[in-house]
Amino acid sequence: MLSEFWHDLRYRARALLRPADVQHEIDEELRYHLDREAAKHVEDGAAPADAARRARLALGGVERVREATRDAHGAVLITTAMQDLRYAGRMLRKSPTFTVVAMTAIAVGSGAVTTIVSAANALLLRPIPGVSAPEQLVDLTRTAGPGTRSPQTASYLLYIALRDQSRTLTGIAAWSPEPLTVNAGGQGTSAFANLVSDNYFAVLGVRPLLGRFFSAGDDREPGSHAEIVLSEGFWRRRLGGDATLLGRPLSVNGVPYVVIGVAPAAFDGVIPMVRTDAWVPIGMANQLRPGTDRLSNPRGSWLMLFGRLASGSSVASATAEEAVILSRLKATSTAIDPDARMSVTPATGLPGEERGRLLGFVALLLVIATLVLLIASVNVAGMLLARAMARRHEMAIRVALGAGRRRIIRQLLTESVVLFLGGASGGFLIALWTTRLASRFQFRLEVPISVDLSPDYRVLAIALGMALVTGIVFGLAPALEATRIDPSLGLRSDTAGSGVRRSPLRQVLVTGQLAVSLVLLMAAGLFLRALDRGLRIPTGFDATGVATAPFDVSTAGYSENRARLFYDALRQRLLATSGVTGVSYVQPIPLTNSTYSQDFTIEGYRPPAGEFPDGRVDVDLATVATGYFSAVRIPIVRGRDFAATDDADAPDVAVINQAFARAYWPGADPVGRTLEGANGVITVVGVARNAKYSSLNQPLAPFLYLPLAQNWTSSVHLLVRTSGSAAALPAVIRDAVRAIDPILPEPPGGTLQAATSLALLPQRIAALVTGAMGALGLLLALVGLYGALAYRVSQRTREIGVRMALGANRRTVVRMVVRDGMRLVAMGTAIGMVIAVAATRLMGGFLFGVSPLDPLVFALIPVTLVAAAFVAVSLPASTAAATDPLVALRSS
Amino acid sequence: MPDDRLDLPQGTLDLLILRTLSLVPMHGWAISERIQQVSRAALQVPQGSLYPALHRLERRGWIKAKWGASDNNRKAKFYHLTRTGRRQLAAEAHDWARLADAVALVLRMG
Repeated sequence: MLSEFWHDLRYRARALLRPADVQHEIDEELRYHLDREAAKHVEDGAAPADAARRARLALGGVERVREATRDAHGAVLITTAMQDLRYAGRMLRKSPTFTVVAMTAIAVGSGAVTTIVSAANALLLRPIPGVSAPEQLVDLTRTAGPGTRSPQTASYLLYIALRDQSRTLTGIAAWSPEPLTVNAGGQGTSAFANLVSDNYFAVLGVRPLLGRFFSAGDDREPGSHAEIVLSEGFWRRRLGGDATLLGRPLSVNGVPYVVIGVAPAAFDGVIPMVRTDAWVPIGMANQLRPGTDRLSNPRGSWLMLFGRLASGSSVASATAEEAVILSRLKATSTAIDPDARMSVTPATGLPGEERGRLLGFVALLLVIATLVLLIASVNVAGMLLARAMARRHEMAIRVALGAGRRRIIRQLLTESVVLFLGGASGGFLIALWTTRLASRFQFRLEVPISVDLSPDYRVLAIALGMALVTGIVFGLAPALEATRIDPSLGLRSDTAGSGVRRSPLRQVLVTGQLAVSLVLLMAAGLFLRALDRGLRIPTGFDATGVATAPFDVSTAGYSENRARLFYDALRQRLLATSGVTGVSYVQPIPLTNSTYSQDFTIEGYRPPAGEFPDGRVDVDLATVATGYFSAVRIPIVRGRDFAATDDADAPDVAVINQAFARAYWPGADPVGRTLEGANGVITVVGVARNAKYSSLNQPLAPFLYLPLAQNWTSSVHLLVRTSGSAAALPAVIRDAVRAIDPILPEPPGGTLQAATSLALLPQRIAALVTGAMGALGLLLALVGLYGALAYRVSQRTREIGVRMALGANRRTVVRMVVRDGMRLVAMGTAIGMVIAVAATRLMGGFLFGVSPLDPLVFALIPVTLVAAAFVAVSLPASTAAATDPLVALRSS
Repeated sequence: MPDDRLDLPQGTLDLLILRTLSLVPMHGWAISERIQQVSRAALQVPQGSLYPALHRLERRGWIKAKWGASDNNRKAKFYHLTRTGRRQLAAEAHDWARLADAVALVLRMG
């Protein structure tokens, strides 16, 4: 059966695709026939001209036979398809309201799905742009043993070993993000650069737009190649696209670097989500951060690796080879973590861990969007059914005239497919708009995020394919239902009161719609509750009235001493500003998912056996300058705050949180106790009240504050508290920085509230998306419900008329219709509740401890839905009650 | 000269073509000649409907065409029966026989 179908299709396809060939063959065949026939007549003694004429006569009109043969060959399918299309177009044009409403519903649903698919495509599927043969590129990620906090980066020594020994990869390149300060025309500018191995561009297969890239061997003599490659965007925006810069020095972190090339515009680093401004050779790593030695430190872990598969090798063979190399290295060197493993995965432009997290979130959004499309499609199916039912009379006539049911179904399907394709095209336009809107959304992050979410041809293909499938699926049921016609009955039904024949399909559609929109609204309700809970979670500090700005003056070539002086001068200057009540520095900034931790031996505490075998405990910490606790209003509940006297020469001190005291020194006074870290003994001088540190849903854990003066880092976040509005502060900060050193780049300032609100970003997006889609779904479902009931009422006008004529009053009629509608509502709500119980469990991770079965949501949402549904039901009911029995009985 | 040859009942042309091709591959003209010969010229094969029928059968996969040299050494399109065609022929021949029997039975009733 199926093979026959395929044969048929292939045969027809030839008629469609190569019409000239087919025609030629037919002509050839007929000419042969005519010649043979004429030859026969000549043999019988006819004159040649007469013989040819008789042959043509016997065939019966060459032109007609040609055409009939071509049709038989299969061209006929195409002709009927064109007929169906024309007919569908005519029918849709004839009822513009229906067409517009249905297409809009589909456009909204498919726009939602297309947006999410487009984002997923851009974030997860699209290969790294601007590189050649991206399918050969693989990420090499270092993973420690299972269950440990896994660093994903490699040391320089590990990189060199892998690069030199790997044969399955034609090249392995390394890179690491490195923020720089570039002096462009006298003004310092932040540049988000990458330190890259000499073969970086070669492995990627990127060719320079201008100049050249790094040459092989640049890495071998560290510090010898002060060279920089600029991104096309940075070169154009910040340096005016000046081609004469090539070969000339550019001040990078206060040191002259030679501009050797400009990368093409299409290439924006291997993580295209993050904007890259420039590339500098890895050999310059130590010069860029004086006092560090990243190149020869075997334990340093800072490089991301990727490679290109050699022809004939696969991800599997590369994985196997890296494992062999790694075990050889472990045998000869103690520098390699014994649990270390290299995993090789196809390069995707997203680090593995982020990819997994994003995948989960996108999948959730995709499910939600699909539900909306489902509701919209069901709605349209309901409309199609009503239309088809209304056309039963017409169809009965056509069946009576000999049209096959198949033909009529095909006709109806063509109509619904056209409708869905039109809707999907609208959805694609909506997605173009929404993705542009989303791309414009600015995140306040330390790295410059630039995401192009716009749909490409792949997304268009998916959207249209989806429309084709949904058009057939949701068109088929109404078509089958409406064509179940006995022609004689169909013709008669119009006159008798037999139109009351119930359509179970309609009821199923409406019930399903209500159920799905209930699930959506439940999800929206839960996300809103989570957002509310998240906003109310006591953070333990006060972010209102505080502005923040990230600083790292070492990238401008500052030594440690000069940096200390600068940060001090900035603090003094800001404190002198009117309204400013506190200034401090912190690293890391709270609630941005960043954690710093160190190992400590804690006085009098022995960790349980097996947990920390060497007796040292891993503690999360922050480095803070004096005045931090008052600036963010974390009270010191015991002992004292850091003081200006706790400087580099004074004994090391620390402030702990209450949870630290409770965990390690329960019942004892923690002040005066000590812990020992890598840099010696630290004495606890105070206890700060508990707060949230890296994220909102983090459980309460021991936390340590160390004074910045004794634990120097030049990379800090400035915090400024004002009695006025924090929004005005970034400009003040900028002016203060420029007054002290105009060569420094302008700091990207913002409020602490904005910085910490990122912690709730997933919930915000999810609440927004599910809320909007839930509302949309409910609206569509209510329209569907109203439509279904109104249709039922119109079908039962006659029956209602009879009832009223027999003495039923308006209330009975209203009650009858309302009962009818609310039965569907009750069923839909019940089914929706069951699905919601199962489905909301999947959202647990995003809910900040709000139960997936939150009683408020589970009570309020169904009640709201039923109330809204009641309104939709009562409209047709009042129409029914207004029926005039006399008119109703006469109407047909 | 009065033409007393029979017109083909609807649907029988396919059966005749399949049966003719079941012996040996043939081109269109030969098929029409053959049917007339075998039916002792009692059947009138409408030449005009022969070619659409051939193409329809080919589309269904019951027969297949191949270009080859004819007996007078010209390029001609030869049709042969496929395996599904052979099955189809058996089925249709069986149906035809039953129909003929039934019709004969009804006619004898009177």
